[in-house]
Amino acid sequence: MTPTPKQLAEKFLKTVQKPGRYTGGELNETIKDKSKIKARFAFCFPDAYEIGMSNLGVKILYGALNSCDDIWCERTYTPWKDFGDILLAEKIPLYAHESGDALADFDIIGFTLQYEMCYTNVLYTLELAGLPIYANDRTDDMPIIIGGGPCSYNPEPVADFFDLFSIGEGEEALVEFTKLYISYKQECSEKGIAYSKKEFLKKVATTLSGFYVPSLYEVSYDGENGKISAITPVSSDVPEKVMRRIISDFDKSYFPEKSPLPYIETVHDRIMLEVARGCPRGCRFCQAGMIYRPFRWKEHETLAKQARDQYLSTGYEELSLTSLSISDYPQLLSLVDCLKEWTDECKVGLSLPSMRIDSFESEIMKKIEELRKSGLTFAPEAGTQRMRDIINKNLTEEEILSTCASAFKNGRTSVKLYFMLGLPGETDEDIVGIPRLAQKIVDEYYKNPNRPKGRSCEVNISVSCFVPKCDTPFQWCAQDTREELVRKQKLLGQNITSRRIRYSWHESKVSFLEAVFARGDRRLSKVIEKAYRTGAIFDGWDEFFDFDNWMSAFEETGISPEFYANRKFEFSDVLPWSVIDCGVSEKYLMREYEKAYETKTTPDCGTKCSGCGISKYGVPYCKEMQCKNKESEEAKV
Amino acid sequence: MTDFRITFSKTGPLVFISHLDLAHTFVRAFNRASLPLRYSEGFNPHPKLVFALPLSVGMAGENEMCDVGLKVDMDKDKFEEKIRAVMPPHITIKSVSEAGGKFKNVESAEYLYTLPDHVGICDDIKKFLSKDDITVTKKTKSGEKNLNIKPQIFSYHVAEITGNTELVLRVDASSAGYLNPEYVIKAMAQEGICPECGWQSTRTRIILK
Repeated sequence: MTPTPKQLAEKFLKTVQKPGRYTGGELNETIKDKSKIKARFAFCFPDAYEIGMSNLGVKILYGALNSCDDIWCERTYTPWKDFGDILLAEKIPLYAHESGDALADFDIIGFTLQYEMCYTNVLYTLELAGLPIYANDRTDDMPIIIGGGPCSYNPEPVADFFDLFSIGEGEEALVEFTKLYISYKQECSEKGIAYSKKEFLKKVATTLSGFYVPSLYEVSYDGENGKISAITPVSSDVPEKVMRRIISDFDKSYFPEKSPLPYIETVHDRIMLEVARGCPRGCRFCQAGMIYRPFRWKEHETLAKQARDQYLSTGYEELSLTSLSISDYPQLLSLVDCLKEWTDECKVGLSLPSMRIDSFESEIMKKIEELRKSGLTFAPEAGTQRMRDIINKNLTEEEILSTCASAFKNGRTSVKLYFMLGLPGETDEDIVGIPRLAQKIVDEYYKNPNRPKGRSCEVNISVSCFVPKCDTPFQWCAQDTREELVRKQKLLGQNITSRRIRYSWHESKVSFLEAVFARGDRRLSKVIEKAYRTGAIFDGWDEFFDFDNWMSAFEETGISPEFYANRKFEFSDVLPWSVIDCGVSEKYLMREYEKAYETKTTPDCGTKCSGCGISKYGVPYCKEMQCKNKESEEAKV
Repeated sequence: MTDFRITFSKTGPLVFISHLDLAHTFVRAFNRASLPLRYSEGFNPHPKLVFALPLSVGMAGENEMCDVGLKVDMDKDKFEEKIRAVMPPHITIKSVSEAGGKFKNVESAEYLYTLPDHVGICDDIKKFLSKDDITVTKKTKSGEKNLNIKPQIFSYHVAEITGNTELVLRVDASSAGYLNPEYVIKAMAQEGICPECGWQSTRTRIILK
């Protein structure tokens, strides 16, 4: 028997950092009999193993695909450069962890695109697998390359590298897609005709919903201003819009009983319980708040069982409830009570993601206080009320201060606050408002007569740069230039008056590139290729990120990054991602954009339906009737 | 309250996990079996779980040992049955006994180094290891140090078996005189006797006083 690439690579493992990244063999991995498998799927997370193994989405999709008898889904991750270099030097192709077989031997390779800065890793991974990076250069005997995850809502910058994208929630869609592949292959062999990737992709685009095949759309550009003039399907049977897939019965949606348990420490080394999906709030900068709509949650009994199953199959010492907005989960107290029945006894620590400040009512606060050992983290996002109204944060200064005061009363001495710079409509007054708010929080601490003796407080403010994202009300807004962002970062720092305030900020260089790719189009694939050829990989990691290399890639390809990041898009522009329908309507996004500039807020879904358009999916959690009423009213106008 | 000593092997992909990761792996396995571990008292309670000797990343272990303390009384056979059911692949339970003493009495450890498809070096290795002075450079906190490791090499045996070279080493593993056997391989490689990479290594035995 010829050794697998994994076996060939084994003797080099002693010489690389963290060899446990490359071995597979974890508890709960799925091993199947190859002879009974009709489609082999390699699920790739284009970043380091420790990041990829922490991703809940991968665990769910891995389990969902493997629940089908004739599909075998395996995992792979982008090798760190030391191991990648060895694979290239020794001519060992990248392999999947379970079987150790070369990725090129698989039917389908799926990449989850969580973050724009992983794009060069996709190219790196494809090359390590021995595959051409451009979809056009890959022949019919090579695997189909499919992308998914949040970045696929605007996949245009990487469209030329992929055969297709899965848009929206993948639990059902990926299984349907893989089954269609099996039946198409079967059909070909029955009819005695050759399998054609092109034919198959067309079949997917025309029969399944939620799949975007970029090669089926032609993009034309305006010769004068460089904007997109039209995106047209190549034939009449190709849908003009690709609808995002949504799980309508979230409570009953697939959730794995067990998932591969890493031996080496990962970033989120714990049970993750997906309490809710979506967010009812509607902050205008937030992409997750739009593309995961509507807000859906699971019954606490369902979650209690899923948590127990996960514990018995992994033995993790920590359990984390995940949701975009955990305090909006209506059964939070019952769930915590249910979990506490066994977690204390088993020494399992419960943890919660960051909370909205206004949700800290006394009863919840008490429960949470019992759970939280680490510091409190909040995200006011902006320093003044005017600015918080523009972004629709629906949070008052009073709420912020009283929450911090009660945290201090409970014995805490530090809080961490997240803010953003460069938001639309921002003035210097709004920036100075951030350190002013931090100062007021410091003052709250000293107002507390029972504060711990001899201990001072610490208010950490972490400030990122605003990145306009597709499918948000701010998708048309320009990002501040880098010079302007740097000026604002300095201005903020100069206005800090207390040594109790610690200030940290994000590099504007990374945010600038994020903005380019978040709103980019197909022409950017040449830039990504160029940057990769000159050494860019693992761009999300400080030790690898090389901004100058990226800038010369733009220069050499003659593409202006400012055109994408710093340009205000017009309502009349054809947006690069306009084929993809994320569920909320463009009309709603425009309305929210205009309200932002009028400093008007919009209540959350639970208070009043704002008619975002998601009700067309008929998901029961959404206040359906209300939405319909509102929309018909608008239609009349 | 019961204390057990577990003898186990660690092979396959688990060869590449660190000592700390191995400890996590054990705690999680006990959790899966709902075995109530005894925790230390104090601000940051941690389970009573002690390994005889940490194993380097990259090395397999045939007879590793760890002691574990339970909060409850439990029959040895029942305990053994429970942990066998939950251990991950590539950790095999060899035996369980009532724990005796702490691991302060580790004396030495025996290692098997195999160099696949490589022969004709046995005599050179024997000659090298029979020297009275085998000086290696050790990195310590206070810089590099030259040390003669020969007194810490208790015995060795080298042979050619089916085209491979096999070296058995028994070296000091006491807390005062612990020797990482990799230094022996490094020293031989520096003399040009054998390559440094390509050896497969297994700790075959931990010897207690």
